[in-house]
Amino acid sequence: MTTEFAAQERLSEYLDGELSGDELTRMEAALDADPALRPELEELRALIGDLGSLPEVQAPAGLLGAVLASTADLAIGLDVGEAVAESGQFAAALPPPISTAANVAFWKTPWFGAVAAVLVLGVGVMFSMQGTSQPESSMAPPSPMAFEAAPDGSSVPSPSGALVDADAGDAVVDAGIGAEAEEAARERLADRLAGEREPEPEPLMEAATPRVMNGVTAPTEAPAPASRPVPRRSQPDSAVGPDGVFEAEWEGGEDSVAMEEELEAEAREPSIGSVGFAPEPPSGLAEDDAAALADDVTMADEPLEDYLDPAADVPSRSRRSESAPAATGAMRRGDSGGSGRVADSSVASKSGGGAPPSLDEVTFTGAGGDGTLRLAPGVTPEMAITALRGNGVTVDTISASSSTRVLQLTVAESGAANMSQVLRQHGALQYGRAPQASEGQVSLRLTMRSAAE
Amino acid sequence: MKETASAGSVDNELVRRFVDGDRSAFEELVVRHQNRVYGFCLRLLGSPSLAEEAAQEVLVKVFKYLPRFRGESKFTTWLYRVTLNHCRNVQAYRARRHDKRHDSLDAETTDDEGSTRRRELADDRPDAEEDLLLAERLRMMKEELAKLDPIWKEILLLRDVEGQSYEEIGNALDLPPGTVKSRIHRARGELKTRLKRRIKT
Repeated sequence: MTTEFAAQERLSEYLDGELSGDELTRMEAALDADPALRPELEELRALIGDLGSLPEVQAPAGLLGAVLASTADLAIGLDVGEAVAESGQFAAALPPPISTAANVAFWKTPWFGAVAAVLVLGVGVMFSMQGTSQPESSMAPPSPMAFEAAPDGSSVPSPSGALVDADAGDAVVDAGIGAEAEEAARERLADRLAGEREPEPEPLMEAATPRVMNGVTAPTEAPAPASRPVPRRSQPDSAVGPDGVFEAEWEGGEDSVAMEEELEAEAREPSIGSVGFAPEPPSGLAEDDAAALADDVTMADEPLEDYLDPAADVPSRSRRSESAPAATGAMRRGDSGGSGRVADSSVASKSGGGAPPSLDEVTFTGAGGDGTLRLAPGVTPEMAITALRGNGVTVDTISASSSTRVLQLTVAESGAANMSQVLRQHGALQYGRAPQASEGQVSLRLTMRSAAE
Repeated sequence: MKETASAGSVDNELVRRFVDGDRSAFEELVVRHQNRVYGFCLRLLGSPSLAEEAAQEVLVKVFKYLPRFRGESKFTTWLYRVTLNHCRNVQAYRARRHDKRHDSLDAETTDDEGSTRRRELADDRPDAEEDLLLAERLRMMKEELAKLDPIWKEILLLRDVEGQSYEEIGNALDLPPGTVKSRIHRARGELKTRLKRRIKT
């Protein structure tokens, strides 16, 4: 029957309210006239209801940050990423100014270094710091992760236990070095350090992983003041969490390509001591030892400045690694580009593993490498930034009701920006999702999560 | 994911601000629509990892191409169109590459949304048994939906999951009204048939 057939074909329109007037009248008449239509209508209605009741899917926590990072160096309507990628040099790789006022030359802004420094601090890298205040909080990482320094001695253990290469112009954390290799490397480094300079803090951690080359910061080769305590070998650097005024300096310059090549060579031939903290206990440690390490966090008790001599020059390939003058809290602009100045910045970091974080945490992962931050896929160090203050920079969170939160920076001179943008603007960090990372690609996910979650 | 008229005007304002150079407007757009984009990708592609990649790429495309958006349709309609085109490309690429990532589709998809369901069912309400039946029905439906031919799946997602109007679907899929009507009905019929067959077996 033509009418019945047509009605059957238009049941969906009827249920969707797409019929009106004569069509609606005819449909209702058909439903009254044909008992077989009614059950079909109800089946369709149930199906539609079920489809509509499928739960809303939540986007992954890192999606927003990844998208913002991917677009950070894009001008609106114009992709400038390729030009940046072709530059080949660190300094040249700094993204070109973006047309919008709020994003002009992020990397030149004084607060940028502080922000980047905070992140690197979180993984155990201690930049050239000069504190005027005593560290108050400690960073108790979930587990130790090691960092490896450059073989030429340009890297030294930071107070946090991390090794900082003053030359690198950016931070490199490379995962995947075994505990045994690290142990050997650490001893080689200790020997070398003993012969080359004033006693340096020994590598603090036995752990598997990375190497850290300086990044956003600086000079660490300063001779230690006599009063500097000698870090214990078992001390997990991760005690990081300095909570004092610090000085951070970063530079990138014409040597960056050569440095990159060196870094790559080092990566192929791991031979340097390592310190730092790792997301997992070092493979060579028993659980008890690992627990002892986790408890042995002393950095918070030790003044940051004890580890750093602000007046010391760093020789060799880095004029960049000159330590900053006594101007506490100042980030100096270097002569090879890509540096900045931050005054009176105060950073407090902490992480899970010790006292439960009382504030939001930042979780980030990275892999691959253009010389900045390298973590093996799957390595997920965690840290929490509890405060970042200084020079007009404040850190807050946004989208507090959302599962995805991005650090929100309020910058006096440039307005709001988010951290992933900021770091990308540095030209050294590029963020994405770890699962997508491949060799040659740095990825990082920033995820804010509250301690209550 | 139903939307209101006011939501559309908010989108329009954000689009305007973004095109005028306000990058924060883009961030707001992403926050507003990332679940929509990711969820749509997940249901079209099946795999959370594929969906996440796709959603990120879609949203980057939005950044790049939004200045070309002329406002002749709703922003969400344009967004669905961008997402659909991208997912179609992903599927075509994977088909050529014989990508096997879809092997774990069901499990991953189930986990992804199943966790939500489990949370919903965690309470001890008197109608918990009814909820369990609903949950089972939804699970089967989701699985059968995932197996549908893309031509049916796309339009069902747009209409019954995303709540788009016939006109919006026509714009998103570039289909004439008559085709939209017939295809929606046909798609529902396909899914209904599959579910009946599954229940019988």
